[in-house]
Amino acid sequence: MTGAAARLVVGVEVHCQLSTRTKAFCACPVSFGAEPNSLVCPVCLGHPGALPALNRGALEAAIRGGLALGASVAPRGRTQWDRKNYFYPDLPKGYQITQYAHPVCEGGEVRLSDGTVVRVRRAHLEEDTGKSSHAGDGETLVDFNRCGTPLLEVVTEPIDPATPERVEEYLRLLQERLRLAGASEAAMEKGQMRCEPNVSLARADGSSTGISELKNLNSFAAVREAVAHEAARLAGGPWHPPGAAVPRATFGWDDAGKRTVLQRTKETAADYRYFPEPDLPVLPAESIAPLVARAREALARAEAARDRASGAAREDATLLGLDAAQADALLVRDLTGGRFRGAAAAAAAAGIPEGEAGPALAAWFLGPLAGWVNARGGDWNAFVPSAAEVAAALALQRGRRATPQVVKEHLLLGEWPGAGGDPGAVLSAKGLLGGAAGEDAVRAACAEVFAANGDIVAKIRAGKTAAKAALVGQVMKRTRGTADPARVGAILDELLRG
Amino acid sequence: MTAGPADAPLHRLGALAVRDRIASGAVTAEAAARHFLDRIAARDGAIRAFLQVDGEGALRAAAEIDARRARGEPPRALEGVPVALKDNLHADGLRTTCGSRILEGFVAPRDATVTARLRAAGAVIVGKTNLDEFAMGSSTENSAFGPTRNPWDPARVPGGSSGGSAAAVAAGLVPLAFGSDTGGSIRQPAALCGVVGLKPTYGRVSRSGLVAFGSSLDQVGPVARTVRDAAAALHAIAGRDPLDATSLGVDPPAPEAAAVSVAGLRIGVVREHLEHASLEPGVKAAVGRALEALRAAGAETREVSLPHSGEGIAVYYLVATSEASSNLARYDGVKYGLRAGADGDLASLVEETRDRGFGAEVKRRILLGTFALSAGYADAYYGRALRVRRLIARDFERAFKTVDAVVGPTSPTTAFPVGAKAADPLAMYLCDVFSVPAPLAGIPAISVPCGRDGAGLPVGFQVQAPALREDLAFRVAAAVEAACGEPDRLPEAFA
Repeated sequence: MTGAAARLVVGVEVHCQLSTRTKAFCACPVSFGAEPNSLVCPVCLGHPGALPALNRGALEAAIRGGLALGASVAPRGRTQWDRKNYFYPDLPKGYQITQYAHPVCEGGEVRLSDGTVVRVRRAHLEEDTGKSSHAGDGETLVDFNRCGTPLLEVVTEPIDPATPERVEEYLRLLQERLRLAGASEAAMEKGQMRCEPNVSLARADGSSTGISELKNLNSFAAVREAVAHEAARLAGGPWHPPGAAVPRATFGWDDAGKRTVLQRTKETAADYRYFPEPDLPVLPAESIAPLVARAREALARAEAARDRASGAAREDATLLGLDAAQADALLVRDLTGGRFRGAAAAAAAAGIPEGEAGPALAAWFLGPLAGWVNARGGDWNAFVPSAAEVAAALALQRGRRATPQVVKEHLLLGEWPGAGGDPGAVLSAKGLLGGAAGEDAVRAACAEVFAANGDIVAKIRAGKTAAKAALVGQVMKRTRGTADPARVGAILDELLRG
Repeated sequence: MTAGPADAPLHRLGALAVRDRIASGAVTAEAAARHFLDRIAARDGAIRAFLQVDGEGALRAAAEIDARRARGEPPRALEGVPVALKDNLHADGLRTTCGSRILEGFVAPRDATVTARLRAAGAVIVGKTNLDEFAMGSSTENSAFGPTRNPWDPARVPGGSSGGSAAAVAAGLVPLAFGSDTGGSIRQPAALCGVVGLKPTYGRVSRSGLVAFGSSLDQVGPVARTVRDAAAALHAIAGRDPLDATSLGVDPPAPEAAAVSVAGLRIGVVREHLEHASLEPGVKAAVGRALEALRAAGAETREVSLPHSGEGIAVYYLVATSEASSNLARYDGVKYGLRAGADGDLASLVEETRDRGFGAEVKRRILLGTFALSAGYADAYYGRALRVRRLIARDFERAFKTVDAVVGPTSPTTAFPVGAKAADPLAMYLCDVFSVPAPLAGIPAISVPCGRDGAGLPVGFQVQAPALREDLAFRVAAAVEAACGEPDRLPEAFA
């Protein structure tokens, strides 16, 4: 049998960290990267005698998130909490407070660009666990800071038929809607959005493969690659006849090796002994109605603002000469937190035409500058250069006082001068600014390279013109990137004509 | 009723009488604290009601109270009253052991809400009292630190699980103490020790800082020498607490409610309880005399039926153990308390810590509760217990349509000899047969002494009232106390 006729079936569970200042059931602040065990109290440490008290802000954020997916809030008249019981060192109470029988949100859907509708089964509020790290010497260290952080778990019905791209698009849209609703920042690299696809293959005759639960996926690309990899692996079987119980197994994703790695098989279903959490009262639907109304209003305001912004963004995109993808990322979704717009305005103020500055700055902000930010934790708030500095760097490049290579290496990906500094002065201090004096140096470098590489010169003259790139590269290296590659090419051509 | 004439020694007095003496300046708070601390030092050895005495803290708090008085500040509700806490209630800086090895060395990081409210009312915390481990038991024999004895007969148990608090008040070692009641743990020891014990309406008192046993049942309440003292104590500790989501924002009754006559009240007598096979004749007779006294005071008694109360024990021992199996999962050796098996892997750390740390009864209940919640069994056990629990609550709702209070014996027996039921868990569980319905229904219930059996052992009379109607329970209990009680009497060995 071949897997050709098999459909890929993927259900997705996503844990999103809700945007709240404090934890779900105590007053400890929620924060990323704090000193281990510094954001804890008797409640989130599970001390004897400590009781949970619901953070209404977390509930409201969960409701906003659910509404953004088109879900119904407490459709069966109430929502309530349950205890999920299991032992693990980073679970301080020996149980997790979650919602089992009566999730806060049920239903909803996300429509993909190809018309596929991903149906949302439920979205519920639960608390996060702590973090265990296993030291090399066999010790296990536990950081309880994350304990009690409010999470929204969003569970879909199986996407059938699925593709890796559909799964990725669903997750991107989910992220976008949760961000729009102010429910979650959903930054995957910070663990604020943890995706677990359940992957299997099914055939028209009802037979299917086992189900693989994929974990440790830290980027959209990883999700797409892991689903594709697992689908290919499962196609090799074994296949189970219609109606048979299928085995489940958990796989991690090895991003470097681009392969899924078996973590554990599930011989028996874990028994979590769910029961209603007696420490938290049941919330009848009418008791949360004011919260739901407020969440609806907030969501409607956010959607209206987005629509206004996207209208304005379309106009700006035309003016700035951006393509659709650039406009979406930089103007509509505004990934840089307004920094692209700021730099474009500064460039216009410096006299650079918008139609020229727009595409150049867009390439910078989506390329090297995004790299600069990602290398420092991925938060655009950590981006120090001012709009004027970015515009000044563009002016240096545009005026050919610095080559694109120098700008990229020493400014965009390198050390910015710091607040109020002058990028030109930085390059000048390093001797990296081109100019009239530079022409002699470039000519000298070209002549040296030309003389030292007789074999390459011979090849080029014999018709292998592509080899010229090697000569250009050597000149660029010799001039530490200060030469204009176009000028170098022209000088080399002169020498070749000799 | 206020216990004790004006010249009686402090230890014969109830909490409000002690408070009045301090408020009037007849005695300083420090002298009162010293008096009770001296009594504990001299006499607790015979009954071992206390696990921990904080003399230094008590004297410091008493000195502060005397300084307040010197500054002319008005006396508060429990000004200067020495108070003991069951050792499952936190007092900042003192150990909370729950009578268990697994919490040995655990120091409370803050006050329970009850403790903080007591301090705010002027009470002086003198120490922590013994209990069945994690409040699981009916005799205070299950404490890892040894049993407490009944001051009326040290060969007998004080009841449990708040046996230390009940024995301490009965012996005049403190005028007021606090316990927790999950299935009768305040009322049954109060009955067996001849003192007053109140389990408030579920939600009346914050559970924050009370170490959980059965979270949907647990309530903190007072053990006192008089009904009025119990009412004053409830008033001091009750009310909404943001730290406990199940606490209610309803004002408690004024302590004066206890003084209102029972004339015209309709009082229901539970047929199933008075005819129960396990009821001792001496208990039945004393309860009969109390009913006679209520009628003499102008109340009308009539029979009521609680048809599902016979299922109470079964339901209670499924609900409470299920919740306990989860509540006690946190004692794993990772964060605090005992740590054993740390040389091995994670499983050995958890298993050995729990094996060494928990006593036999706690293990039995964890196993019971774990089983009752397990996949494939949860519906037949835990789920069915929840359904019958609702029927038990409905029995009371129906009864309260025709009567103002439902009364009967608190416990089928008087105090039994130490060791008599220790080997027979089922017999021990049946001690709670009359006391489990009230917590299952969430309603208030009080036990008040109603005389003695043939052997001179105290008998407790239970009054159950509708939710949030502690005032009715106080009125009925106060009438029984007036006719049958002897609140200023102390056991001879503690006179």
